[in-house]
Amino acid sequence: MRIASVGCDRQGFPALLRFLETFPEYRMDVTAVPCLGTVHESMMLHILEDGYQLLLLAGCPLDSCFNQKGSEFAFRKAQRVNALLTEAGIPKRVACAFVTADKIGEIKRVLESIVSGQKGEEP
Amino acid sequence: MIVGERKPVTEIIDNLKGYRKVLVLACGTCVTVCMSGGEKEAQELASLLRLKGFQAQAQTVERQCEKEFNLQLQTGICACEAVVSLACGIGVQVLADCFPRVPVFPGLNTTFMGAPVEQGIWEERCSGCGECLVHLFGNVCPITRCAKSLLNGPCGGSRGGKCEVKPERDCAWQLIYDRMKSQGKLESLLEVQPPKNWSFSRYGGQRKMIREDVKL
Amino acid sequence: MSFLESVLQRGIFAVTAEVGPPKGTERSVIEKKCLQLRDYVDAVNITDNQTAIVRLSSFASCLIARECGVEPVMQMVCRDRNRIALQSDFLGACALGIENFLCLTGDHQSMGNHPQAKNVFDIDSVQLLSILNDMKEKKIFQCGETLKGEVKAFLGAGENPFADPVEFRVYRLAKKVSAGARFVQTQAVFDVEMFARFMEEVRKMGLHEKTHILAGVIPVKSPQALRYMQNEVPGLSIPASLLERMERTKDPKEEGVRICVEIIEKLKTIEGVRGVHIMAIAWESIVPEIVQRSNLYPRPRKEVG
Repeated sequence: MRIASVGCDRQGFPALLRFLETFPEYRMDVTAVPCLGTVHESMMLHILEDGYQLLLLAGCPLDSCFNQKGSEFAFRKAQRVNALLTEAGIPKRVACAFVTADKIGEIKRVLESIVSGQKGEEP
Repeated sequence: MIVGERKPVTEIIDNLKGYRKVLVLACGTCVTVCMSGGEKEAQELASLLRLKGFQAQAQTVERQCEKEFNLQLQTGICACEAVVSLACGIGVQVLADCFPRVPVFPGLNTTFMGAPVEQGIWEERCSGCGECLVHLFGNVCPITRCAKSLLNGPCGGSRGGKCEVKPERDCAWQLIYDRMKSQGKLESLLEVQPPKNWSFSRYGGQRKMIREDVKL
Repeated sequence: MSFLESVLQRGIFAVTAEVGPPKGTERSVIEKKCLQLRDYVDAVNITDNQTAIVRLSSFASCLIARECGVEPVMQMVCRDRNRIALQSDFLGACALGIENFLCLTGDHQSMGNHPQAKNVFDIDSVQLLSILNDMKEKKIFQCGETLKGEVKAFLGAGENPFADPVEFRVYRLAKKVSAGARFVQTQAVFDVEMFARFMEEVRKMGLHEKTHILAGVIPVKSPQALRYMQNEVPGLSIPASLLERMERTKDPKEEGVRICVEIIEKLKTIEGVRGVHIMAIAWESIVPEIVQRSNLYPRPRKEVG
């Protein structure tokens, strides 16, 4: 499965880098954004159009997002995109992992649940 | 504003069978405001179509209901095999009139003339009956908001201020009663309203408005 | 003058009942119910595609009822026919000797078995009353043109004193009376006190002298039936004590009849109530017993001719 990931400068991107160092068996193309809230639906879909099956969004925990609502907005937009993908019968997904730079277990959990076919979007 | 909802993606895709190069055309007015057919929605739909194997592009015009805006698309339209118009039914038809040889498919189900009541919720408010008498009903239109279009309501099915036909809907006549009571105008509800003249409405046939004073 | 009208004019406490036509062409269904009711009521309402379920038309069913010796009340709803069809059917009914008409709005089509149908609602029940009244009194159609021939009609309306907004109901009744309603059949009364308060307002406006009010009653066979009505039918106000009685009894049918008879006895004492309209849904056979136990039997005789 080809995976792309986008992480916020605050927590998400550092967490993704740490995750890839710790678990080198995982491969992902990683991009940084100032805040997950800036990732719009169109951007999510464009990334998936580039041949990825999964887009992972990594951001601050919902209740401690540095910009207050960035993670929440990203979560809602991801839900909308997943609804569109399901409706159109496209087997790609957007998943969210809300983490801190030193607690990267959530990323692994989300990826494992998707790979094993379960729904992994809920935080 | 005119409100519509995007058709199921599967229906749009079914309609596009046999075509590869598709233009998804957004409209910048009503359907942008009700978040069904604006630039954002067009880009999302174009992405979905590309993921399904179409060569899809998204574009926006200010208003598809006015020819002048559509005619700017001349080159864009020629480069595609089919158009999915995300405008309301009016825009779809005007666009098709501008480019009669291009297959144009509606991407929305146009539903009603209404207004946002809060973020994410739009409600019908006007039926275009052609003879506006809302002032007689506390500025609550019974033709549109009463399921039975009663002019001498309420019917026997009003319960707790809700309509028995759709319990999540307010009973228009409860709203009318409350409004007119608050204005001290209950007495006018005692007058028997005569039968509506439907000849001004859609039932009289397609309507047309002509302004001789502004014609060229 | 129709028999129902003559009973009411004579000051006799009237009894009417209701028959729903079949979902098919078997006229025998109507005949059987009418024969059960004939000697126990003064007139029988024939419903008009009630709850928007397609049934043998009210018009045709009224003719069948007449052939059985029962005086029909033709219910006309505004959901399915426009003013042209309604006026036309009214003329047809008058020409064939139907004399009582109940003007109703009609249940919305979404409630019935053809929810995709387009409704009409060209006019509402108050406007229909006005139109039929003008055809009768002024011999004119709604457009103003004169009509020919006799129009003998006793016009009525329905009213639900318990639906919201409750304070407005007596005013709506007043509108129907001024539009031409000479008799009114109400929604079923379970809460007699609430109905009595409504009748007080009615009397204050003098409406009881301008129209004959028949209070509706429904005999119930089971506590489930009562609970269903409380939950599903708008404006049915059912006192907890009645629910308790139906739940505790070992013979729900008998208790249902007893409750119905008690309500009728109380209604008889309310000034301005001129009769009772028994809506024994799917239980028409119980009407004779209710009429007898309410001391409303025998009914006045109809004159032949």
